[in-house]
Amino acid sequence: MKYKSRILDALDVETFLLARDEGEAKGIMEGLLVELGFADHDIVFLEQVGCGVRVRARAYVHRPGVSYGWLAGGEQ
Amino acid sequence: MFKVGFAGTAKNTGKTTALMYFLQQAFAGCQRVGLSGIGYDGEDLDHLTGLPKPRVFCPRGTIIATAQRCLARGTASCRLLEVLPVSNALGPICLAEVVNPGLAVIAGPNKRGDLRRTLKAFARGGCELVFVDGAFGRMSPFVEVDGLILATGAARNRALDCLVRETRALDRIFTLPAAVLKGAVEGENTIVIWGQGGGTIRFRETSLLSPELVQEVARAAASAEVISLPGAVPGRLLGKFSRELGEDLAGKTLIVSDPTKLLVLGEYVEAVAALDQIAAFGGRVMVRERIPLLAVTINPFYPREVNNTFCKDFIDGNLLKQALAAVTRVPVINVREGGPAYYLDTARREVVTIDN
Amino acid sequence: MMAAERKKILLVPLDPVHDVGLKLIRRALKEAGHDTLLLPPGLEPNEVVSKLLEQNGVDFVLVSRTIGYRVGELLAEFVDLVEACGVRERVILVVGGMAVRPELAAELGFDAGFGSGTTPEEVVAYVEGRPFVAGKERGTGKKKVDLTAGYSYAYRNREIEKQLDLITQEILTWVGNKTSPAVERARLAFSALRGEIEPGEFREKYLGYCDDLVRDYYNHRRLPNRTRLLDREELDALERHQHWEGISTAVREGLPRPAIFIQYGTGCPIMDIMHIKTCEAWGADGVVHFDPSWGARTEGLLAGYLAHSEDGTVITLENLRLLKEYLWPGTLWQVRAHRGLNTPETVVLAGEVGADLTKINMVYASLGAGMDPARMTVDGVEAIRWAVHYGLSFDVVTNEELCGVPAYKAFAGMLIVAHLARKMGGRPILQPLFCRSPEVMIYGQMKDNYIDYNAAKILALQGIIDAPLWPGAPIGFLTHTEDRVQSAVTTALHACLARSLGVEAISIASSDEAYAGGPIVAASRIDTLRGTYEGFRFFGSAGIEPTSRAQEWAQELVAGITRVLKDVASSGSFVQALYRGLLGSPEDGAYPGRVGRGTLLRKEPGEDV
Repeated sequence: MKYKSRILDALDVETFLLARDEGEAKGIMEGLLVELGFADHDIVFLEQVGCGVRVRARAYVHRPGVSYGWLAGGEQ
Repeated sequence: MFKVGFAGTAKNTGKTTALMYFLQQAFAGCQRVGLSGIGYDGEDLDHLTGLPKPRVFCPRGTIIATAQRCLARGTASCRLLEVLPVSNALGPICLAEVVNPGLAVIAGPNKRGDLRRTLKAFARGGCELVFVDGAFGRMSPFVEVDGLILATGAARNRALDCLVRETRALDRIFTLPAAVLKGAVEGENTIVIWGQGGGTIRFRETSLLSPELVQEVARAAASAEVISLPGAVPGRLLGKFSRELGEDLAGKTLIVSDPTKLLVLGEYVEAVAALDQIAAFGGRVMVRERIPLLAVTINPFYPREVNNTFCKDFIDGNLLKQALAAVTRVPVINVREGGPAYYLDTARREVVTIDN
Repeated sequence: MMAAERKKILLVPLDPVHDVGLKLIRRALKEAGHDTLLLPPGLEPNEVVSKLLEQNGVDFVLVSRTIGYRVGELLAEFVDLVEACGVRERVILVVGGMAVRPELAAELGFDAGFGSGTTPEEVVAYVEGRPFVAGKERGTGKKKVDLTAGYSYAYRNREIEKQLDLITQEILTWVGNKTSPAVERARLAFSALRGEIEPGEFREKYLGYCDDLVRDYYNHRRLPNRTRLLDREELDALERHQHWEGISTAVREGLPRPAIFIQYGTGCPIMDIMHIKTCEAWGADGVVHFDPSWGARTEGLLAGYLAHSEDGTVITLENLRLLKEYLWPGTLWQVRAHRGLNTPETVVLAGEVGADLTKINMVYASLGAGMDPARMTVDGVEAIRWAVHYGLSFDVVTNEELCGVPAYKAFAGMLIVAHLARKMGGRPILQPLFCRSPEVMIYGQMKDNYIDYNAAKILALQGIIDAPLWPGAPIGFLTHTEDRVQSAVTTALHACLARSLGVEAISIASSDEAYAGGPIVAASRIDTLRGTYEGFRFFGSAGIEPTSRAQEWAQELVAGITRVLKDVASSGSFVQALYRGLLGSPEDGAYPGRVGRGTLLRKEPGEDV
């Protein structure tokens, strides 16, 4: 994962999903992040209006206090 | 009161011209005449004003049944006699008497029950003869009339042999014999099969509308004596029915409610092919109610398409008349013959009426 | 909410493909609490009657079919078959479709007939046996607003009114006996939509007034580049896809003005529908149809459900009908006609399909959109005539400001078109741009803030005439960047300014406004709607206070407008004034266009003007 290390702290994925409700949207986003290879993730924001849900999902790459990829200067 | 229907096989077959011809004849016989129609007889829209142009000429004294709002659209002045408890897409239908002759827009009852109610009103109004104009190829409401005048011609089909085939077919269907077993089938409103041993099978359906039902009825009818088909019997499906039963048709009687039931979907040539096949297998087809055919009128005119526009054209009227007379037992009348005389007569009559 | 008795209704598209209108009606009937069953298109009459007989207790059969060759026979056969099967007395038969009139319904044996322009509410009223009162239906959800209601169009500046009278009188006289391929096509389309002309005849005459691109399409099924026809499966799938059912939250609730318009035109009507549904839910009051720019430079319109892989959704009757089907009843819909070779015809389609608004401005079209001034003036007058015919109000936009034409000249042009519309019985809406135009970049009116000059424009117009104002298009034009936060904020702030100035409507961009690399996404549309809502929430009824410069600039604008109008009036020819640059010159950045030059005809066909 040579690009990931350059992310300061986290990667946000924001989109608009067609989903029945926020619960379904949450499940879809979690599944998507796992599929993208992000194990440590969270759903920051969900808001359903109309036919879909606005969502902001977050994949943590460097939580504070861990060993930072960008500091190690290693893989790039 | 005698009720005559005017049925056309297509638009432009001269139905209205035929109607006016007979209307004039009737008045010559000094009868009190009623006039209505199951469609809208108002000609195409006038492209300048967007209003329909009337075209049925009504002599003084004619009783007409038309949508109340159509009274103002014609040039004939009418006296309202009665608003009937019947309406069509244009609103309530009324009975009115023509007090000053002129053209009228005729849009009367368009379903069978409404036509029956309207005819009763004509009878109450003292009419001796009532004419009912048809619309497109719609035949079903004509179950209510005593006889039919059929208008056909080049607008339906330009090929002479086709017109001959169709007219022969219509003649054949309208001359089907009345069922002798009338009493037995009278109360039955769905398809019923009477077996040889007296067993009876009743179906939920009234009409032969799908190939699946045809198969089902044919299977059940293998050892039947009488099959009553009270609803619609489209020609193609009757053909399938006959093929399904084949030799088993021998000695069987099919009872159809009335001739119009065999005319649905315009499949009457197919219906007659099926009737011939049934007869060949030794079966017979009868009707509960007959509707006699009184005359066939012909119109050699047809709209010919030239470079995407239409112009008037005619096929040979004499040839058509002779050919049709050979396949029907009723009189064949060319509505174009004597046309000018008719119009002249009408005009004279109008002048005389105004002078009075 | 249901007061009427529950009815059972069979909906029958007795048509090979079309069932869009019926779906619309079905939704309205369902909402009113009735049972509906929609049959698939393309069934034979006997199959339809079989279905009718299988169903118990059907009260109504609604048949939809566009009238055409031998269709009368088909419909009559259907009615006859229902009668022959013995159920005619128990069921009410209704026929609907383009060119259906009550007279035709009577002739075919139906109990009622509904033609084009029928609203689903009208059909519901018929089914429930109550009289239909237009405009009083739909008690719930968002109400459609009339942007021109309450405006007298009275002039507060008599001098300007006098000049406008002179100019517009001259325009109407000049247009007099002139016609154009577009004018003829619009009339043909109008007749064809009413079934007054045979399809074959229509096609031949219509194609006679079209470019090769359109002719190739009709004659050889050759599709224009980057377009494709949507297939039946896709349209069916769309119909089954009903994520948005039953949602009706308006985020702008309780805030009466201005109406918020978004502009759609992803290229594909299906994607457009998804964007529209999203925007409606997030508070948009109206939507504006954007078509591809080549559509404006091509004589003639295409047909069919057509998708386009680049910006702009192709205007076809089918595309517009499809879009209309999915609009909420309370959503205002604008189909723009203003800037090309199909202006009058587009108004006819918009009117037929049931749009609320269109857009017409021959000055902008001539100076900023490449159209020949003479041709565009003839087409523009005809387009206004059709807009009046259909009761469509329309905006007059001043997009030539974006080319560099100073606001006072652009406004003079806008006022000419609006006055012309008033003379012809129309209800125009003035659309000054809220933008950081080349003019202000050069002269520095926005050096300190974006408020004063935008406010000056509104104040100037409000001082001239009592007419509705709809800044656009979109507000904040040329202040947006690709940064979505910046973009949404600038839109929201411009919206709040517009609201504070008391305008009737605004058109807003998405936060992708400045991004030119690809299509706009739905999330970016939500960004600006959400931002605008937050701005409205923040300011409430509190206003934004411009500095004294706004009034000074407003006075300068009025003086400039008056000067320009006097020049145009004394020149004696509006069209020549356009060629000569009185309303925007090459030095400003405006060039009279060439598209359609030399195509005008005299009213007697065959003679060139």
